Amino acid sequence: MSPKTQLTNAAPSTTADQAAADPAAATPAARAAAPLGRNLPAPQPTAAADIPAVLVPLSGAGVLLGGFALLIGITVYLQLRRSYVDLNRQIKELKTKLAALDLNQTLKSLAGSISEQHPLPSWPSPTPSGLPTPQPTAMPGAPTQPGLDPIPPVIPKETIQFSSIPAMDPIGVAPPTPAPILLSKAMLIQAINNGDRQLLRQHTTAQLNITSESENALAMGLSQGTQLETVAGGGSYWLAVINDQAWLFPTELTLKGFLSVQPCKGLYTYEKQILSKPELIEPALLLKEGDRWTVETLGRVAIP
Amino acid sequence: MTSSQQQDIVQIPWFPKTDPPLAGGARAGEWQPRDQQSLGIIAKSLVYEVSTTRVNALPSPWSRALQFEQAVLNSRYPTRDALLEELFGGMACLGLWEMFGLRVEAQRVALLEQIEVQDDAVGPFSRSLASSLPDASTAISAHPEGRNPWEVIYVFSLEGSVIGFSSPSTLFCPAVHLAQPIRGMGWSADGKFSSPLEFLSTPQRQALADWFSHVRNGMLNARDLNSQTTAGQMAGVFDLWINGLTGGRLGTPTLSTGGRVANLPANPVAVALLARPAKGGVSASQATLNLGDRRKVPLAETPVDRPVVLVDAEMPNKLGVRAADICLYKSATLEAIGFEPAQLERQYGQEIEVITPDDLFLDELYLVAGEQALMHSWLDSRLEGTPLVNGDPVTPLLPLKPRIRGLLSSRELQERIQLRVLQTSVSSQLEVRLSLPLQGQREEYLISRTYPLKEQNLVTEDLPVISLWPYVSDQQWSLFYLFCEDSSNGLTVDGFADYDRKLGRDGQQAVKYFATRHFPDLVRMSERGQDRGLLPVTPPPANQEQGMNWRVGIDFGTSFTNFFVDDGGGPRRHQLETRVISLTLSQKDQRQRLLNQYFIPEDMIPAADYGGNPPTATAISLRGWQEVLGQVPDLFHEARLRVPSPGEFGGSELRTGFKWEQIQYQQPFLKELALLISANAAASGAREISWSVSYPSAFSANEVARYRRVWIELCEELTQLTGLIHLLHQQGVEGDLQTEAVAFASYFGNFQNRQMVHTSCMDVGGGTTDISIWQENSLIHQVSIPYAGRDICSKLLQRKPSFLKWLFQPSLTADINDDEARARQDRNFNSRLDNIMRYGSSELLAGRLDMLVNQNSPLQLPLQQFLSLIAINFGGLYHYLGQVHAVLRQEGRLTRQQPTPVYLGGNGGRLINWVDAASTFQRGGDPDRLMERLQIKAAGCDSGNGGTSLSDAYKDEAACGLISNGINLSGDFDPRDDVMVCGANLQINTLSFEAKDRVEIPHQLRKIERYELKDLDAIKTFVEHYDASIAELRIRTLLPIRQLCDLDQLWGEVETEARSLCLAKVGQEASDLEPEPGFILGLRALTNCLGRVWAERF
Repeated sequence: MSPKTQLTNAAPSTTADQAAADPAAATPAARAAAPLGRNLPAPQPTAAADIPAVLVPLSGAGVLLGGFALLIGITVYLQLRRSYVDLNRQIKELKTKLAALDLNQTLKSLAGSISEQHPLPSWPSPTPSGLPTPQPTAMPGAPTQPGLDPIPPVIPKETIQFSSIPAMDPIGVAPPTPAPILLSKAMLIQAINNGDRQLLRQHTTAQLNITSESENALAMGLSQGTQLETVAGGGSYWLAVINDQAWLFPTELTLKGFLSVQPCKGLYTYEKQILSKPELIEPALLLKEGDRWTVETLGRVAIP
Repeated sequence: MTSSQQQDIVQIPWFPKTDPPLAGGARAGEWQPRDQQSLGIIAKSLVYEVSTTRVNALPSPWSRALQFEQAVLNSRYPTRDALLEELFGGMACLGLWEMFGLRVEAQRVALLEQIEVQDDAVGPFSRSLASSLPDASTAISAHPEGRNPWEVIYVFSLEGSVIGFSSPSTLFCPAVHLAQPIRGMGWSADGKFSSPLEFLSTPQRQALADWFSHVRNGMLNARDLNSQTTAGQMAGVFDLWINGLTGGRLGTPTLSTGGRVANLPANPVAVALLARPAKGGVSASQATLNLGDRRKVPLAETPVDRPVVLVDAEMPNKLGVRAADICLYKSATLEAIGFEPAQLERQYGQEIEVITPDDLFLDELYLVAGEQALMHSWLDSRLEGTPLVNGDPVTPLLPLKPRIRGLLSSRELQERIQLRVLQTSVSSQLEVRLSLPLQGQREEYLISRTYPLKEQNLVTEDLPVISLWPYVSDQQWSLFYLFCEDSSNGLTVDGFADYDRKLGRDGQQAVKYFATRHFPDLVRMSERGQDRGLLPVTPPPANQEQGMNWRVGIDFGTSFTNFFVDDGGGPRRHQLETRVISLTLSQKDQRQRLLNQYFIPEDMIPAADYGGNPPTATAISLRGWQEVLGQVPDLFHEARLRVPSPGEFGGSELRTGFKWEQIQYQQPFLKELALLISANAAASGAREISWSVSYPSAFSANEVARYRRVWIELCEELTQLTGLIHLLHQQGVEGDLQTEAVAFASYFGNFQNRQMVHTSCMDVGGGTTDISIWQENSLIHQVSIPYAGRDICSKLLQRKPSFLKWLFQPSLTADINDDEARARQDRNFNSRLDNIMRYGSSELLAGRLDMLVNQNSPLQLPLQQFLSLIAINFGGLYHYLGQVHAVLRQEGRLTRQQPTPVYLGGNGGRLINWVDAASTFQRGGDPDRLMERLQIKAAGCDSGNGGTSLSDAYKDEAACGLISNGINLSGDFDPRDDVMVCGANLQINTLSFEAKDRVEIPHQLRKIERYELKDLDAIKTFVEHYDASIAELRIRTLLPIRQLCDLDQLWGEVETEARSLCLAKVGQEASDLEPEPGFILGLRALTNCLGRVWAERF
């Protein structure tokens, strides 16, 4: 079962669903969470009631519950950030449309109200450390933050530790810094498939491109293991290091490009599926060799 | 008189002002008696701002004019100074109006004519005036008819507003009150004229002084002079003004030639003198832009013959001079045009182009995401600080309007522009400073704008692909392309008037091509049709040294096309640099994908270290174009050269094999290739390219003619397009083309300095094998036979794609379909296979083949059979060579009785390596001995050295040989004079040819109605020779033919196959018939059958 399927099954109803049904009654946070809720349904406000459905094998394990609470917090944080990004994008569009009108004040107040609700950096500003700032985690059953709806305990199946490799080094990638937060590969896969650039940008550490040596070897059909290098800009791929494993994600544009051409670049295999657009199934696994990265395991891409 | 004219008269401000204003009677012009006290009130209320002198006299209706008269005549007149200053201003207006771009008109008012007007206002008022006409004795000019000159006056109006009227005693009487200030004439600002001195530039002062002098002298010397006293006094006033203007210095008065006050008569002279204003001298402009690069190489929008004048209200502050002293153009000063660019435009719009800073700067600054997001642009080097939006670096587009492109080049802007990030506690701004070179200014004139860095002006996250070709200075090249993604709502490139735009679209993907004759150094960026700024391109350096002219040898092959270059250092392979540059740091994969599919790749693969390009695949892509059968597509939007690779070969848009079929694609392919080569030549400083072109003599007569025409037209077109001279090198006998056979031989004879004394050359290409036979450096025979690499190997593999996939690495054959039927239908299969073999052969021969041969697997035997079939194919070619030798000996042209050594090469020639057990063709090895033996047997000659020397430069031979010089290879190179040897019994229509005959088809033969291989004797002989040779030479690695099939059963199939091949030729026009020796036709039938047997047995 895929992580997405499991998540869907584990989340019977959401505040976002309610908000969608009755927008007037929904709080701003619930309204913000509504788009996400379509893809990732969240459970009832009283998350504790749902815990048995998820954690039956773990009942009584208080320590683990605490850990899950942390995960829940991260999840909520990610959801809120996404909604924040959506709203920010909407504001940007509004600003453009209303540029000729003297509505700046209105916009400012609107932006201010959002910032108050979601004190997150706006795109594309990362936190100083290059890592997302964890939001206060909510323990299941614990009092929720004033002004926010209860946090749904969405827990991905494959939740593993994320450690960032900061400081985009033009030559290589620096050793991981000990600032681990929890992130799942599945989340990033979902992010790329949903076009959530913000999440990708914040959780990937470098842009990569295939080396020219590999390009030539590939063109001649001779490449054994495609090599990639870090680039300062114009990268077609993202590097994400999750749980000390380096994964290669295509950018949204690269993924979209697989619709017309599925290049044999020794990065991904392609699987025909009934889809409207290409989707990443699995990122490629990379191995660091000096200042370069070599594809160890091909990733998988589903194409229409 | 019209009512409007009547109204004008009424409105004429005849009287001095009173304070408070005193109203007249109920009816204008009707005098109302008043008592002494009332008149005293009026007198006291008269306004004389400058004077405090008491007024003792009551005004007459003419009092305004008479006051000026008194001021002129009476030096002790109380308000003289003020009145003369006002008169000075009025007269200056009359003298300078044209220089200020204004228009003055006059209206004649004859009082005696007006008094009869039946109008409540005009008639009585005129009667009132006429009844109190001033004394005529003080008039400067006499009335032409001896009457009182005051009876007729002329009212002057400027731009519709009355400024005064003519005065017989003072020439002009200014209006009491000016309705509005006169544009540019600052001395009219307070509702009346004042001294103009401080508002005039030096040239204007001089012009006015000269004009005063002209009026003064004209007045004094007038034939109708009436009062010498008044004229003398007035002259004194003029002198006073002249002295004030120029210190008394006078030049030659220059009067307007075009401008004239309408309706002024020739008499009286005093009035006529006011008709023509000063023209003014032409002053050096201080605001004209100095055009540099654009003057040398003007663009369509460059105003070459029109000065470009900058109008900037900030000029006085920046230059530290008065607006009146800033001459914009001719006599127009910044003051004179009232700081209004539109006024200068109106005044001199036909002669100049007016610009303002607003015409150059965009209203907003737009940004793209990322630092240094622009490539091949100097913008970053002129940027001080790092612009950030939300803490992330961004790259600004140059916030200049497209108009700047016609005035300044990118190179000039690079020197003149500076961008600086200004960081305040609340916001970030970008200051853009542009220094303009203005005539007459020692220092450059600085204009600037400051823009806030706004998040909403961040136009794109994903930078669009924007590329430019070629990156060659426009001093050496004259055709440029801009290629970009097209987007209705994203950032894209917009064109200029001189751009030719083409579109390409395939599904969701849309691209644009802009062709221009000038290097596009400033790229216009737009979003949703709105300008977003310019992308300045760092111009390529011009090669100042005159480079050697290039000689290029082009070998247009079936699978690959190769070229060699001689740039003065001898023939050499020249890695094809595409000279495409990308202007944005777009995502690399996306960029490569679009460029490969729709334009020119940034780099030709493989790189020089990996084998190099050329040769380049003979392939084009039609992506984005709806193919029209037979129509020649245009570059680049309809077709472009494609570099397929095993990793990314291409699909239905790919066209290959057009050397022989679908020849409409030859032109775009060769054109692009020639353009790419030419761009390389231009970059190295070459001015002329001489093209040496080869063709296979297997081309039919029509094909040769068509191919030559393609090149002749190409040379003409390239000359027009590129700015280089393109010539078709005159070397061959076929007009200007050389046969591939001779070009190939030239490589060995000339370039490699091999002896060509008793030698055969075999260039086994993809589609043809070109044979030439030499004796004593002289060509004694050449023939091109349509039997080569594709027949030797490709057809076999096409029958069994699964074998192909077993033979080569999976990475090379990933897109080869196992389905045999689909492989047969794949029209690009040969090209696909050629690419696989190009890149996979080395690895195969380096050990893989040996491993496969010795591997104990079910495919071991099929592989041995496959290699044996390849050997049979080569054997057939050598057999035919022996047949030709026999004929030549019989004809007495080949004198020696020994076999000839053979130089073997060509892309297909390398396949002989496969059949050698060592995986490398060895002199004296089994295949070498086998081929020698076959040659000897077929020729029936003595034994001798008939060994084969394999080329060390597959595919390079013809291209290199075309431009190689050395020994004088001689002979008749015209293939039309050298008819092929038949090699088998053949029947064409009524013509019968035996094996040793030459197949000479008479010109009068129109249509092929019969084409038959009369028997299989020749091919049976070959099979006997082949199997006998295998046995005699005890070759074990290659199987004899009889082990590959059941020979008895085979001949029936071969006969049927031969019949089928012959029938394909029936019905053709004789001129379209590609000549093929009878033996080769039989060989084809044999190998087709053997191949079929092999594939079926597999």
